[in-house]
Amino acid sequence: MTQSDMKVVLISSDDERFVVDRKVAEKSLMIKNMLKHVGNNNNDDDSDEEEDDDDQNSEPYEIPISSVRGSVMKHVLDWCEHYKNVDFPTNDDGDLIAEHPVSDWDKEFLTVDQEMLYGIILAANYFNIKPLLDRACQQVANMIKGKSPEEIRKTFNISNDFTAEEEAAIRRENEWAEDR
Amino acid sequence: MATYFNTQRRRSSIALERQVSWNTLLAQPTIEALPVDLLGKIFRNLSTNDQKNLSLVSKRLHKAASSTLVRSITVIVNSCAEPKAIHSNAAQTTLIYTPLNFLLFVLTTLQNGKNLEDIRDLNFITTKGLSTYHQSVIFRKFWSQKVGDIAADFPLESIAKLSIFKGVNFASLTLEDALLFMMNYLPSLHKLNAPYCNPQKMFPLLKTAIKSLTLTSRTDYDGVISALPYLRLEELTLVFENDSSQCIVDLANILTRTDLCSLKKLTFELARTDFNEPEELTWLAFFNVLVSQKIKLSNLTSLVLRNCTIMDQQDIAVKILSQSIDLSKLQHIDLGIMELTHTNLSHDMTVLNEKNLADNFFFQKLLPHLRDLNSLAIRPTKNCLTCQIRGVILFLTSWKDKLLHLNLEYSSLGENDILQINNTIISYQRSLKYLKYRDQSYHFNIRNSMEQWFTENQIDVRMNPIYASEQSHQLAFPNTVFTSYVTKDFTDMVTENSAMFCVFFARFFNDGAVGQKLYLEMIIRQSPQLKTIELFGFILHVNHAKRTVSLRTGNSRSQLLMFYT
Repeated sequence: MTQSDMKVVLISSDDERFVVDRKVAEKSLMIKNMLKHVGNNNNDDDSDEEEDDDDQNSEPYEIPISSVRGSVMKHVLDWCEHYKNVDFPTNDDGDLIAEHPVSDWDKEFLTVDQEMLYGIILAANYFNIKPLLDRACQQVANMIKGKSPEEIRKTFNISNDFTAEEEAAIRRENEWAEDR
Repeated sequence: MATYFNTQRRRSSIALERQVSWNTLLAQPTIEALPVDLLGKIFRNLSTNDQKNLSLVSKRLHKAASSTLVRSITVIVNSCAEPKAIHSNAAQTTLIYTPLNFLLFVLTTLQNGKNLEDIRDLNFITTKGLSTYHQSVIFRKFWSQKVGDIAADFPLESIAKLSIFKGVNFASLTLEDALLFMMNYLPSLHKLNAPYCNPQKMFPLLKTAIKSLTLTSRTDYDGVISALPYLRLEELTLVFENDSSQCIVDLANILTRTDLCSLKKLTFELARTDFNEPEELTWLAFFNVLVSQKIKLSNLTSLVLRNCTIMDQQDIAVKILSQSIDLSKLQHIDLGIMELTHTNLSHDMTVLNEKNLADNFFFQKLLPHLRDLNSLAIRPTKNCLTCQIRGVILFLTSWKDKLLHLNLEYSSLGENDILQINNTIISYQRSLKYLKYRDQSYHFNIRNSMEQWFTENQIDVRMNPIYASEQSHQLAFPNTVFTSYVTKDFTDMVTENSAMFCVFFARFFNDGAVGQKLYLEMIIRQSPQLKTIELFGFILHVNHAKRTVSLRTGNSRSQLLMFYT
């Protein structure tokens, strides 16, 4: 069994189990780094474990993810599956090098209720899936774009906790920044 | 779609560390429950106006939005009529356009105090398209402006009452003083680009690990010396003037006291007015110091030599560079060099004889030392242009299929030269992903070869906005823009819905009665999503049914045909 055939089981906070190809799970840098040390990989840096490799590869690794719900996990794994063959090169700081504008598929994928969207953002951050995190953040930003403070409150169900004086002070505070 | 299956098999289990706040967040999935750093990540996608609106929504969002607003600041030091047209792509940095607003920024952030730790990048730039010399004049004027003159109507007295400003006479300060004053209070600053600000005063104030720095050649570097413990330079830009070799040597001697091995990007930029005046390879003096001290920049990936001179010192330059830089690791080279390619040969001998050319072209001599180079920017100068173009072609041919990024800047290149270069790219640089192209003239043949790229190679072509500043001076639709542009508004090139186009503007002088006539031609990949195109601040409307692009300015309406690929 080759490395790419290997399965990984991710267990959500509500005990739902997701069995995915290693390649799909490794869209998450967090999981990728984790598997580097425990599983079979092409680097020979863990030769001590090589003896067990054949045995280990035949059965999936289980990884409990206690901070992500099953519904969110399913969504995130769908994204990983869709992009499993796409490389998103990053620089030393982990930022994406090339811009990958949000595709139609992404737009549809991210057309979910706010609860799910924040769940995806938190999960993408936790799993360290930079392109998904960027796109989900962009999606929330699009919901804010061009809106007045009152419209933003309405969209996100936020109550205004400023006094009139505080509001005036903030306006003065930001006077120097012109729109770009 | 992914398919998953449940399994009861349990072989190995890996425990993960849990983050404390997660359960709370999962219970309250509102935007306000997101951690501030993630809110900042969302807000960085937004315009300054949106961020200002966000800061008025609630206390929680105010905290995140005002932090994002000051994270990266870019001050445009020369006033500009149409800033939006120039900086439409300047995402992720907050722009400040006027000296008064820069002053307000300094005073209000110092007054509030709370966001000072959020300021990470401070950049002072001019609008694009200015010569380095012109920039130096603008910067010096900017820094010397008096606060009292700029803020005549601003109630400085109320701020002066704050304790940190005690004993400071604001009106007599310059903008340079204002920046220096602020630098006392920036604990997180890691990128500082303040050309022509006095380093002797500025650098003693650096108390954070500065990674990115711009220095201007001067005679006195005491300030730099006192900043040495805080420099962890990854990016260094040196702006220098003619006859400043000694300054460069002094500076190099100082900087070699820090660990220059972390340096990844090095830029030399000569501020010069007269390009015919010989210049004594000032930039090379820096590398000479490294060689004499046996220092090798082993992690340098980007080398930019702007307006620099090679003259007939090609062999020496290559030798010194190969001793002071691990050239095999260089990924990006930007050469805007004055090169005398053939001292003892006539133009004809060089152009006709490939060996003569290879023997006299700097880049060809550098080539054996290179390995990772995938990005090249080159600006052939007018002197000996055809020979240099031949050199570029020779390089593109020998460095076959290794470039991902190519930025070509010419000044009025002949049609044949352009065609030859285009054909070379098509045949020899098939892995190219980004092409930036700039010239001051337009030829129909560019379009034809572009079409070939689009259909055969699907190259991602991006616009170089260098001439955008010219555009800001135009009142009407670009009837005096006389350059060709390649631009984009397209996404993933492999998907069939990608909206890709390139635009060429041209100005033709008809000698008949018609007078000047403007052409605009577009090559476009058909995309139903492409409804509007924003170009230099103008909105062009796309009509796919009629295959036209139109623009409305005032009462007039221009309509243009599109060419689909």
